Amino acid sequence: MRLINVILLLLLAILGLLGVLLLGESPAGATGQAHDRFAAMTVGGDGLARLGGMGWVMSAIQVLSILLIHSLIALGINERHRNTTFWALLGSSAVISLAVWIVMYLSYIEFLETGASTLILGFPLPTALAMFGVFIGGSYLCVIYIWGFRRFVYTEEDEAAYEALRAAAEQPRKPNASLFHIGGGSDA
Amino acid sequence: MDAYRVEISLAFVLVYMVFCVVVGMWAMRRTHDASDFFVAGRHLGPMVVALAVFSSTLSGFGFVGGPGLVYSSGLSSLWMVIVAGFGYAIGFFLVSKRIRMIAGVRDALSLPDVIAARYGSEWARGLTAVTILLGVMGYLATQILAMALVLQSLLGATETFADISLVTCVAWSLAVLVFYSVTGGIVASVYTDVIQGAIMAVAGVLILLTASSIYSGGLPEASAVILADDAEAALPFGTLGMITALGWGFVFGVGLAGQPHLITKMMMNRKISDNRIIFPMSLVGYALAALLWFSIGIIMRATVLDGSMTPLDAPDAAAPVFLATFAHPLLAGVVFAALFAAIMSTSDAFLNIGTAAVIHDLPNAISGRSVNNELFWARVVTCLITLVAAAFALYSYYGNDRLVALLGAFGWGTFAAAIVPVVVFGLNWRRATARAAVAAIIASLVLNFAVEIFSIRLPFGVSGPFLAIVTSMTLFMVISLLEPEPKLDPDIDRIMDL
Repeated sequence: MRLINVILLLLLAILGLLGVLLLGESPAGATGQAHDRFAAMTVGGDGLARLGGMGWVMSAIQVLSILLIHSLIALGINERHRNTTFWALLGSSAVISLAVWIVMYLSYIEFLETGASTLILGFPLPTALAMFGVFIGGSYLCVIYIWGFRRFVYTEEDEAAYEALRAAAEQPRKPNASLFHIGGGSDA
Repeated sequence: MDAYRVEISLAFVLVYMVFCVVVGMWAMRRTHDASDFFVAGRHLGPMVVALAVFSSTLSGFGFVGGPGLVYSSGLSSLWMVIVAGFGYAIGFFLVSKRIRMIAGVRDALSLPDVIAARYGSEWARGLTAVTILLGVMGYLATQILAMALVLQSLLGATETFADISLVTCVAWSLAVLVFYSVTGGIVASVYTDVIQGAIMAVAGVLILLTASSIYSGGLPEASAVILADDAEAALPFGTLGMITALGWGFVFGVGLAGQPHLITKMMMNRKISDNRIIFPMSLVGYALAALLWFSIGIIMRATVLDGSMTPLDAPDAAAPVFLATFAHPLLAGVVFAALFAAIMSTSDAFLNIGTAAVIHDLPNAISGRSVNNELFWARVVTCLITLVAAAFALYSYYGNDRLVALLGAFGWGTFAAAIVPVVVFGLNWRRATARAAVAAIIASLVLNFAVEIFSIRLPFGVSGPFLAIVTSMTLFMVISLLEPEPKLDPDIDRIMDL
């Protein structure tokens, strides 16, 4: 299946799941309620009850969002540069992010059911995974960008082709340069 | 030193404002034409662009609103921050290369210029400019109001200025803002961004260290206090619930690529290959600065819950009260200066794109040409937009009108919903059509405005901007697929190949 079709399917699936939520009946306190002692604070209350049986829908939306983000990133890479290494790196990023999410979600539900959780760096496991795991998962894409910059993001051939294009564009532009004088920058 | 806390903070703010004036004068000497005024002549180095990109991501909202959100709703707003890696990745993988290529080849001065070049459509250019202008007015009014209120609270704590009015504070703030924006344009903005970014990153680390020392067990002990009161507040989705938090994550992650004040900075670097350095530097800077958001919020919520602090009247007081109570006076001074820096540079960036919309993009969309003597008119319009936004902010404050709140909400989320599909698909997919761009922008504006104007509360806390961005992206793709593949101009066609 073509990448663009995958992206459209993911968007339609997210939209469909949002539709399921919008058609559902929101339980009381779904978005929190006033704190009984402090006016400027809210509380979440019974976390399991306010999911209203829709936790799996919300979790599925996040799974699809992770897949969508990775598909979009693949779209940003020229088709001829999407080689096995690129797919392996992007795939590993998606797997890491999905694993972080699934463990976070399951441990969150477990905490809501039992009130107990493993502590990581002093925080409950789902909180620690959100604080550190999600950010690290996203940062891995930064590592891929740095490593792959000259391999598939902006190769030296791309740079040379762009330079030629820019040089060609400069020629007819010069007579009109009085309207928008070009600054002294190089466009390499 | 503690007895002079207010004076120290004021001294730092004063030094920063003087710095802004000096930067404005210096930048004026480097601003010779509209290209310099709007895109800094496209010759900025990687360090400057990196700090400008991350400073644009974290405005005054990150300093005041962020800790306030953690105080009021626990860790819900965590998702606005932890998705930064994904957000920057989308921005750099999908936008930064080709937006800079089109800017270089077509001599583009603004985002609507790039959109017009890509789609060959003046409608797409005009609608993008209108979206930017609406968002800018709301953002600017709230920034001006925030700056004046913080200045009033600082000055009001001294004997000399105890009764200073808000109007006076607005006037003082505007004087500095207008001077350095009008004289220096985007050059002034990006160089103050550098200082702001550096201060924010350092302040983030120092605030984290301060916050960790309040409880003997550090932040985990504070987290345990919050957990004991209400588990949800200390769990990853906070008190607002899972789908609200995840929706914020989507809008702040995917939506980052639709922020015009941010992606315009991707048109300003000297070399495209600098992006390889700009991305990690922006991400690291952002991560350090964002430490302030959570450490202050968590400590303030915990100390109020355990009775060691009196409850706050409003969540937005979390950061000022923390600084006044726990931070060393010098650190408090630095953070207050950083707050002004954040507000000032964000305001300047918005003024810049708003001015471009008025004197460059809309005239081009309507008549096919810009105004003559763009630099002169850019400076005049910058003054006018500032004054209108200030009047708007004061009217809203004293008249208790919802208009600023409405346009303020018409900020990140609406930019995201309107601009993400147009830019992300437009720069990476040949089949993306002008009609799809126009439809996506209109649909996102209608959806976002409808949810806000009619105060519609969606079930389970699904956020309006989340629904709007998914809808506009889907609509964009469906319309593009239903239409024949557009014929691109040869230079754009070649860029799409690279």
